Amino acid sequence: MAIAAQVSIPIHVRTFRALRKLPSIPTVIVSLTIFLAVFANLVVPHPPTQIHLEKSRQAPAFIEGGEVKYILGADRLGRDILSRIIKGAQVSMMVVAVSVTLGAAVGTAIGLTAGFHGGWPDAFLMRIVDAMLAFPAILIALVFAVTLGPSFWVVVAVITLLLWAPFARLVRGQTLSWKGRDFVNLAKVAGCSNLRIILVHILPNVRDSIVVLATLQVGWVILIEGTLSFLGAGIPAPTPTWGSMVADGRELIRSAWWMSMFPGVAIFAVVLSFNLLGDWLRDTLDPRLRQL
Amino acid sequence: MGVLVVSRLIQAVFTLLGVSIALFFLSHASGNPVDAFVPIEASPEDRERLIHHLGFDKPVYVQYWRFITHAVRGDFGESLRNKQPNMSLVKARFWNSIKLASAALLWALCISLPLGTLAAVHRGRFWDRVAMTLALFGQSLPAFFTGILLIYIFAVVFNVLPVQGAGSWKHYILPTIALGWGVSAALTRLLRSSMLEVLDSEYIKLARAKGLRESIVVWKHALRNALIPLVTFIGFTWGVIMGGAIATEVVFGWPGMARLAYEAVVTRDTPLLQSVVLVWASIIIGANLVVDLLYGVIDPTIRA
Repeated sequence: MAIAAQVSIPIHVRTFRALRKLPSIPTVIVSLTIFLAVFANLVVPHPPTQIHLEKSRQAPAFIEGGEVKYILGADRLGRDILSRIIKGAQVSMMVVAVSVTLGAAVGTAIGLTAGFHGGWPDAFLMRIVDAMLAFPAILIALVFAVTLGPSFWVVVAVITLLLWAPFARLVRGQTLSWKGRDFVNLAKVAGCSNLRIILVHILPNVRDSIVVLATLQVGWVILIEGTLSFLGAGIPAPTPTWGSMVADGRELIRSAWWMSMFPGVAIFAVVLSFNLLGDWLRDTLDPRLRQL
Repeated sequence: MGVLVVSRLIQAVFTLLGVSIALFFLSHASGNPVDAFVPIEASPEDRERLIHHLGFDKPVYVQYWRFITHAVRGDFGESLRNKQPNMSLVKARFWNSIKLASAALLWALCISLPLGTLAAVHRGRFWDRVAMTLALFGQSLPAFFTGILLIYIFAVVFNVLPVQGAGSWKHYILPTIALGWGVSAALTRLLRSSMLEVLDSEYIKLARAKGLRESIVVWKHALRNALIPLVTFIGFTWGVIMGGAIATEVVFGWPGMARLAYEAVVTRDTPLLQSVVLVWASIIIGANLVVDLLYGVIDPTIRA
C-alpha cells in the first residue's frame, strides 16, 4: 500500500533561503563587526596599544605623507588607527553582549512577573519602570562613573540598569495579552503551576518581541558606551574605545582629521547596520511590533 | 482636576527626594569622598582635619539631613575645586543650557513637522523615503560625532562659522543643529506614524467628503490631532535633550550646565556634580509634570 511520501525541504536549503532574505549590506557589516570582535587579537595589523612616537599623527595611506603600513593613519602617540578600531570593535561588542543579555534577562523576568501576577507588584514595578525611562541615561552613567571609578564592569552595570526597563515594559504588555488566551486558561485548569505556565506557554510567544527589541537596543548601547568613553567616563585607557578615540582626535581635527573621523564613521556604520537589521527582523517576525 | 494636580505634585516631590537620596548615598558608597581630591602629600592629620572641616566624619544620615535642610534654602554647599557656592556656579550656566536646549527643540520641530507630515501623506514614495532615511541617520549618529563632523565641515573645510563658546547668534547655529538632529529623527518617526493613524480616521474621511481642499484637510485638521502624542513625547524629549547636551556642550565649548557637570566629573568634584544633577533632575521632573497636566488640557477625551 503506497503512502504518499512526505516531501520535506532539507534544513540546509531552508537556512539558505532564509539567509538570502536578509538585508545584504547591514548583515555584512554586522557580521564583519562580530567577526572582528571575536578575532581581534589575531587580525590586528599592529598591537593596538603600542606607542611609536616617531610615527605620531601619521597620515592615512591614501593621503600624501602616508604609508601603507598605517593604512588609516596613526594617532598622537603613533598607535595605528585601524588596529585600534578593530580592538575597539571587540570592546564595544563585549559591552553590548554582556549588558544586552543581562538587561534582557532581568527585564524579561520582571515583565513576566509583573504582567502575570498583576495587582500591586505590577503597579509598583511599572512605576519604577516609568521613573527610569524618564531619566537621561548619560547623567546617571556619569554619576556612577565618577563615584565608582570607570571600568568595564561599571559601564556594563550602568547600561544594564538603564536597559532592563524597556524590556520589562514590552514583556509585561505582551504577557498581559497572552495571559487571557484560552490555552493559558486550559493549562491552569489542567493544574499547571504558575511558573510552568509562564515559562512553557507564555515565554515562547514573547520571544520574538524580545529578540527584535534586543537588536534595536544594540545600537543604543553602542552609542551610550561611545558617549561615555568620549566623556572620559567609560572604559579607561589604554584600552582603545571608539568614543575615546574620537575624543583624542578632537583637538587635532584640523591637522589630523583621521583620528576622529574613522572611529566616528565606524560607530555610525555599525549602529546604522544594527538598526536596519532590527527593523528588518521586526518586519519579518511581526509587523505588529511597529510601535517599537 | 485639582486632585490630579496635587497628587502629581506630591509624586514629583517624592521622586526628587528619592533621586537626592540615591545620589547622596551613591557618592558615599565608595569610601570617604574626601579621598577623591586630597593631595597625595597630605599627612594623615591634614586629611582628618579636612574631613572634620567638611563634616564628612558625621554619620551618613546626619550628613544627608544637613544637605537637605540646606538645599531647600538654596544652599547646595561649596564646590570642592572652586571654593565657591555651588548654587552660584550652577545659576551662571543654567540659562545657557536652557537657551540651547530650547533652540535645538525648536529646530527639531521645524524639521520634523513638515517632514513627518509629508512622509505620511506621500507614504511609500519620495518624501517618505527621504524622511525615513534622515530619521535613521539621525538615530544612528552619536551626538558628539555629529558635532565634530559639523565642526570639520563648517569651520575647518569652509571657515564660515564659529565653533567655541556662546558669543553671538552665529555661535548658536552649529550646536543647535548637532543637538536637534537626533531629536528630529525621533520626532519625525513619531509624527509620521501618528499622522498615518489620523489620516485613516472617520472625521478626515468626512472632511474630504465635504469637499474641503486636501491641503486644509491635512495641515489644519489632521495635523492638529496628530500632534497630541507628540506633546507627551516632547516632555520626555526635554530630558533626553538635556542628556545629549553634555556631548554637544563639551564639543562646542558651550558655557552651560551640562559642561559644568562634565567638569565636575573630570575633577571628581562630587558636591558640584550632585548639585548639577539635582537641578537637572528637577527640571526633568518639572517638565514631565507640566506635560502630564497639559495632556489633560489638550486631549479632552482623558479629562473625564
